[in-house]
Amino acid sequence: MKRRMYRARRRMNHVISELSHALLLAGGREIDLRLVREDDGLRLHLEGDFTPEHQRSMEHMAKLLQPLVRDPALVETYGELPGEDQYSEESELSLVGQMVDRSAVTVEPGRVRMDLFLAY
Amino acid sequence: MTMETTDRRSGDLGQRLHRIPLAMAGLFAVFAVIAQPDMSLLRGFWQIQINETGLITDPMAAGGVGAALLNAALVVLLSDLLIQRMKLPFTGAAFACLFLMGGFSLLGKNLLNIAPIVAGGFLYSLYRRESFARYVYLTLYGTCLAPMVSFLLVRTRPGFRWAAMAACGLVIGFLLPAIARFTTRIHQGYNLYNVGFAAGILGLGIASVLKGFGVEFAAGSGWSKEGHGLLCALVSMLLLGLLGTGIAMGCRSWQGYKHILHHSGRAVADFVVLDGPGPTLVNMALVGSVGFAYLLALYPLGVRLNGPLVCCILAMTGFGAFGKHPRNVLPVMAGAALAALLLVAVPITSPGVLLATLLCTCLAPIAGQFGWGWGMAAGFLHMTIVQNTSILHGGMNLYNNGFAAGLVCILLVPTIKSMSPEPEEDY
Repeated sequence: MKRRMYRARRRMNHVISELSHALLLAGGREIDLRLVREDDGLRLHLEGDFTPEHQRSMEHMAKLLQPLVRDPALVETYGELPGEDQYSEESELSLVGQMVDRSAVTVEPGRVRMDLFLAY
Repeated sequence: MTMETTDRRSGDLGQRLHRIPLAMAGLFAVFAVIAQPDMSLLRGFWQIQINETGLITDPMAAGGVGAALLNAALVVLLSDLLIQRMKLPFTGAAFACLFLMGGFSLLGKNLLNIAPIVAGGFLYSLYRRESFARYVYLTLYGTCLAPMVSFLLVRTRPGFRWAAMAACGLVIGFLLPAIARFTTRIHQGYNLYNVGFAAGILGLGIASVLKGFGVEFAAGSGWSKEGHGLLCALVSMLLLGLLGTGIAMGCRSWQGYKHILHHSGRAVADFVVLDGPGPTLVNMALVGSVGFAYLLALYPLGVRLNGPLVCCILAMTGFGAFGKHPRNVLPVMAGAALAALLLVAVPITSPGVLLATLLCTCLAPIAGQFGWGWGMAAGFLHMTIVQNTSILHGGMNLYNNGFAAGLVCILLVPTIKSMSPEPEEDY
């Protein structure tokens, strides 16, 4: 159990790094972040603002974070990449979508809310 | 906009897609029988299993065109069954893996030499107390070191060879997943043949240790020129089949396809997940056609399709579902061809140069991310570096181009980033 907790923690660090990076790039001025350790995993509540011209990119991000299929084999290979650099947020956000086990993302004009769960 | 919560179910996306590699295996099997409709097919097949392989050996030269295709059909079939058994969703990653398995079965992989490596990967998953599904792609890609297994089978003294072969394969399969996970951080997803890079490093280590014990690596070479017409028909049918299936699955216009061209291709760019199966299959056909057309254009210079060249077309086609598209592969290929013409002291039609020109497309994300100029630079650099990497692992890593591409990324990606302006941000 301890080993799996370690892996979930590492992955959550990458997720937080990538998402905060994406929101700041979208002109965000304030990001509220709440991380909860639950019995079977880590839950991240994240809420932030963004500038109006990034509305479409945020909607695209929501789509990437809620993929129709999730492939654990992809995460095993590429799970260390999110949050690593400043380019190509699409591929890394797509990876974040693959890394989390459950996700709910709500995008409103100028504001995004996320509830992401990463199992141990 | 509110989107519903999704959970970890696979959904039904891709349920129909797994029939495509099965159809490919069936196509290989049919062409195998057409090429060798007698007992020489089975004799050739066995000869391929026990033959020494490496860079660059053509199983079509060892066992015949039909036998090599039969070997490829069985490798694809078993790999597909393994992926299905793992209950993984059928995405672009699966396409890339299965097409690469099929392709490299025409350049050195066979049922006998990949089996111990797959077993090693399974042992690793047991050791980690995790599902083998997490490691199945890494393990299947890891079979690129299969020539090492064949080498020990052929070169070790009788009575010891099966044990040596099994031990070598198990060690490779056990070690490679962890190394491959680490190497993604080095090239940052700009090398699509990540396991080739990892395998090059592991192969370098194993080859160095064995050389220390006095082992000399001298991989045999073989380059068939038979069966060109048959292989052209095979590749044409495969690419047209993918195109037709893509159109039937909804990609009926330029508008439906063009979005794929906007992806950088940097890992993870799984086009099945991002754009859906229809555009992905059309893209696979187009990317494969780029490689096919390049080889056909060299026909007047004596280039004929054979196992290794069909392998390259299949590798390009497979990664048409996982990062490659015509817009990002063409600059890299152009750079590699330019380097071959200007710098490399071997003809543009020589086996190594042909393979490098087609397989350097694993660096396509550099063109997709940083523009065609840097893409050409990556291809140019790749062509020069790849001439010197095979000797490091004794020709035992079939994804030698992936190894060289990793080195290109180490040289190029930090350089590009240091020279690029910081992205502008709203504030």
